[in-house]
Amino acid sequence: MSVSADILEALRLELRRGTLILAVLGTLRSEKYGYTLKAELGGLGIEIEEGALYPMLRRLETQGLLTSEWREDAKRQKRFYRLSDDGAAALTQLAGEWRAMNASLSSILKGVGS
Amino acid sequence: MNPIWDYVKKVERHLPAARRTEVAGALYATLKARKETIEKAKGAKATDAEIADMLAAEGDPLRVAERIAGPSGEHDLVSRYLASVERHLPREGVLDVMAELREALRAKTEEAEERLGRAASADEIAAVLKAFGAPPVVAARYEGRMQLIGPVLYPWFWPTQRTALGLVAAVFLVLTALRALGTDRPIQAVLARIDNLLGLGLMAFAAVTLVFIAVERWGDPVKLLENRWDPTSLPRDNIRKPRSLFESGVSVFFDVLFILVWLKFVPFPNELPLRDGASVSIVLSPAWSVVYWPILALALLSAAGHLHDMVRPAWNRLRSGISIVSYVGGLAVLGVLFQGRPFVDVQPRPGTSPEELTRAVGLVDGLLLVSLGITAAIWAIALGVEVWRQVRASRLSGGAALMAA
Repeated sequence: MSVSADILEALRLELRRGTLILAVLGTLRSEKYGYTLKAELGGLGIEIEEGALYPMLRRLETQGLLTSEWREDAKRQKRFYRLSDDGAAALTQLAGEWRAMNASLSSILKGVGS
Repeated sequence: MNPIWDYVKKVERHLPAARRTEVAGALYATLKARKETIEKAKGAKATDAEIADMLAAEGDPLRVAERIAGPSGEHDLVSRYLASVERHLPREGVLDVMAELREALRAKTEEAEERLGRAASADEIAAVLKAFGAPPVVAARYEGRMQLIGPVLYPWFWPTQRTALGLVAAVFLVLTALRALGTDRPIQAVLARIDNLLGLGLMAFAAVTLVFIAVERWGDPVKLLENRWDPTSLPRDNIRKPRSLFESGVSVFFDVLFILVWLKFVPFPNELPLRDGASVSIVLSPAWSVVYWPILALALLSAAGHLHDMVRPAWNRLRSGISIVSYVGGLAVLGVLFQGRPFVDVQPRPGTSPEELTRAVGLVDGLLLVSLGITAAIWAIALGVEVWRQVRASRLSGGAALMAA
């Protein structure tokens, strides 16, 4: 019996949710505004809807992990985001967690789907 | 001197007049909250230098006004979409969120235009908005919390609760009053049953809540909305502010009351006292019988329009059409009545003299002449405003076609 598309999609979304924050924090080590951030993530194979990206950026800023400022770029007002000091510390810790988890999962999933 | 207030005044000067007060108030609240965050972090009052730095980081007042209010040539669909998102957002930080969404939509539209090699049509802009997400869903993501009743249904939750509780209270009070009238002490009889109202109210609240939770759980409203919502049918708050539920509810109440009086289900006191022991009965003149059915039809149309406002409070062409028909019909009815003056006749009661009858007719007819004259003037102005709103809506929609041409 095959897993229904809905269940698979829900599992995929759940798997991606945590990693998206890590990807956003990692990308914002250099300053970017929403549009270029989405484009860069997309170029690296990580798609995220704008409707989800902007609220996430705002939440991360409220948590003190990002800082932002409005600035003019190409004659337009844009909000630029970058990692704060707290964000950099959190990123270091999360990256360590990710590598450890990745190593464990690689070992668990050895031979799956290959 | 308050530097935050001075800064807000500078921004305010560059804002469109229609949004000046609302935006200035929100900006002041945002900046004040930001100052309080600084003070909370350092555990002391912010210095003048810190406030100056905070305002400098906000940017040049002209630029701030531009990013809040949007460019003057913004597409009608984008403005309506942003207004819809804004309605669902928490007030705190709303200006910042809106400015960022506006910029993101602008970038998305420009990306689509670059791909097309021409200006985007209204349909193409609608596709950009559709991909961005339904307004309540986008706004809900800023709240970032799990909800028992989700973003699609939540805007309807409290209005439905208020309506349900209002209906329960009205039906209960009417039935209790009718029963109490047959007793010796009606007021005490009503008071003795009033505590039942609390129980009924709680039951109504629980029933409505359960229905909402059930629809949320099994109806999957977010998916349903994302599939079915249409950006071109977004409300037009830029044409007229949405009517409040209270305002529409009060209007429906008076519409129903008028219809009941007009159909003679509810008696209307028509006795005019002249002096001690003498009075006259005022009755409508034969001119009114000519317009009896048109008046009833217009009253029903008015009630239908106000009921429609309760469901869809924002301006739309159908509601505007109902208003235009009502005003034109109302003015035509008034025209017939003005030609058939006097508006009223009197039926003498014993003891009244012919002079008193003439004076009574003159008095009531004069009062009606003034009040119906004022009504005619108000309806004529309202008709002009409504026609102008239709023209404005066509121009705003037409902007897309011009851009695409």
